[in-house]
Amino acid sequence: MPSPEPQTELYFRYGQWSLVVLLFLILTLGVLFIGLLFFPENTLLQSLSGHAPLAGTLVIAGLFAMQLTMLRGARWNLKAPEVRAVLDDEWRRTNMDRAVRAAFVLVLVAQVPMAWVLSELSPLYPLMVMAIVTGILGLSALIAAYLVFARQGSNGG
Amino acid sequence: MADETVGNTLKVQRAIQDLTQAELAHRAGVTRRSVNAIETGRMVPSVLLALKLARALELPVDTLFHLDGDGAEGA
Repeated sequence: MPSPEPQTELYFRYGQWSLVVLLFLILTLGVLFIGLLFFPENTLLQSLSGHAPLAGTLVIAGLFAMQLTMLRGARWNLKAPEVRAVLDDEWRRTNMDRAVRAAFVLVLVAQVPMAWVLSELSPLYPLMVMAIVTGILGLSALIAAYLVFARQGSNGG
Repeated sequence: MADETVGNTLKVQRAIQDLTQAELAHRAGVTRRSVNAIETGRMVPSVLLALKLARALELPVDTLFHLDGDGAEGA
């Protein structure tokens, strides 16, 4: 008889999907923000940014619904042994370390083309734009790299 | 210095005890991914995790983990 799915797996999967949602959110907001910095008169971007609070509320509601369905009623309790097993997991930490290194290298490499693009477009506050773009790029790369590395290790029974 | 790596018999010992990766992971308090990564040689566990796995399988830690490579004989 197959054993029931361990609670740890549910927490692990919920954590992964939360990161996917977070990555999507960072990329969406980042693209919107950068777009507005370069093209402040664009009506489509202005209209989209006007809907940002509603979209934010929907995302939070979606995450809550995701927690209810994926964790089957359980809560993300940091003291629960299953949650600790996921958070303290060595394979997760290994992948996070690899992701940090990959994101760091990417952010460093991206500085040169980014500086060139900004000097060509010359936005109002180039240093601020560069800092924000670096932040968005770094966070997105970190999460994306972690998700890729974690996926590589999800095979086997 | 010789090229030495850490080998393990985790998969074999787990099979002997008729445990799945998930069951062993639950006993040791880690995720199935960690057990899988160790068994496939993609991760060398910390001393803490090695001891936890040994305890979960009720085996001495050197039954589970050993040195592989050039200098392993003299180790």
